[in-house]
Amino acid sequence: MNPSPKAGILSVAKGQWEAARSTGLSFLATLAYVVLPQALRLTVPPITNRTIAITKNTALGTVIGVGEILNQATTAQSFSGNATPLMMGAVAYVILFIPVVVLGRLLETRFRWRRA
Amino acid sequence: MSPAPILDIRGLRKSFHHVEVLRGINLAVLPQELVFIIGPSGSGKSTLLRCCNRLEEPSGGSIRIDGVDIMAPSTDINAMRRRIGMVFQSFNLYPHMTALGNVSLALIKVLRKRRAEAERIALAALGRVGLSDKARSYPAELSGGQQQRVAIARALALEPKLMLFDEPTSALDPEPVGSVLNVMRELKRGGMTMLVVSHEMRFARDAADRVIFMDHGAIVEEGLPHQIFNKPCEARTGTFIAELVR
Repeated sequence: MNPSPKAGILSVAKGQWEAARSTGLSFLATLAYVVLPQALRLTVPPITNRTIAITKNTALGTVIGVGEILNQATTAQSFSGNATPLMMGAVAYVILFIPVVVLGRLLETRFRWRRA
Repeated sequence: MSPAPILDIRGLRKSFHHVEVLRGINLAVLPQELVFIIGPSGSGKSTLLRCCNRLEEPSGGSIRIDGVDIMAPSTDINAMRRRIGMVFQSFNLYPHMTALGNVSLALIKVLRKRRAEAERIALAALGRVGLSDKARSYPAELSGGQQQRVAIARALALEPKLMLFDEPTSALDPEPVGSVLNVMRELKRGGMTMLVVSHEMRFARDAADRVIFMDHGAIVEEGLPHQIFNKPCEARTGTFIAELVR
């Protein structure tokens, strides 16, 4: 289900290893500074997508009675008789997603090299 | 008396499984010499180059670099490799680092220099290949010729005794080839010892001290560029050069 880190490491081109080793970097230094940073970049985007999808999909949990944000807000709204709790629910979503979106943006800039 | 060779290869053999790719190569490269290797594909020229820093493990024979036997168990191959610059056909720049990062990585992690010091040396190396203004660019933002020059700077920054070039211009369009060759000419003028696998005949003619023709894992013929290109002694050399010119 998860993109395996091993697949990420294997997908880094052999030439990267050779270039790094030819400058005198050891096996471990090559892995740490050249191969893993690239392998992680290959495995992180799918994980980010999954994070957002899972968070949004928690709303589906209402069906089996999980008290997630939207459900709680709707309940509170019917108690109070105005839309404030619903607004607070929306704000809660925004607060949850801002770090994910910021992280995504950050990765996008760092990934510039992958386009070309 | 001639000076001691920087690179001294004796009886070098290399087999992949049961296929013998190098069949007893003897080759000495003197300080400041530019030796050019030509030959048909599959003749073992790249393998020969890659044995010189043990990216390929030789099956037999000996290789001495600046007097040190790189095959000896007591030799620290990582320490030797940083004295042997290597430039690849496909550049192999680290895509997640800027040009400056590419050049300074080994300075920081292998030579243990402080970042400021490493970046100063890296900038000087980038200056030598005419790319001071591209220090903050990522490889994807550079043209092929520029990438190859960054790769040369990466090797150069470690002040190697010997530079190995494995078809450095084969992956380039005709136009940027000149910029890479100019950098190599500049290195030659600066006294760098170089072993070059390439088919750039015009470059070989005016920059090489010696040209070696390889075929089927052996050195068929060696001599001065004009001798090899104009009146080769061996028929095979002549045939190959005629193909190359055509």
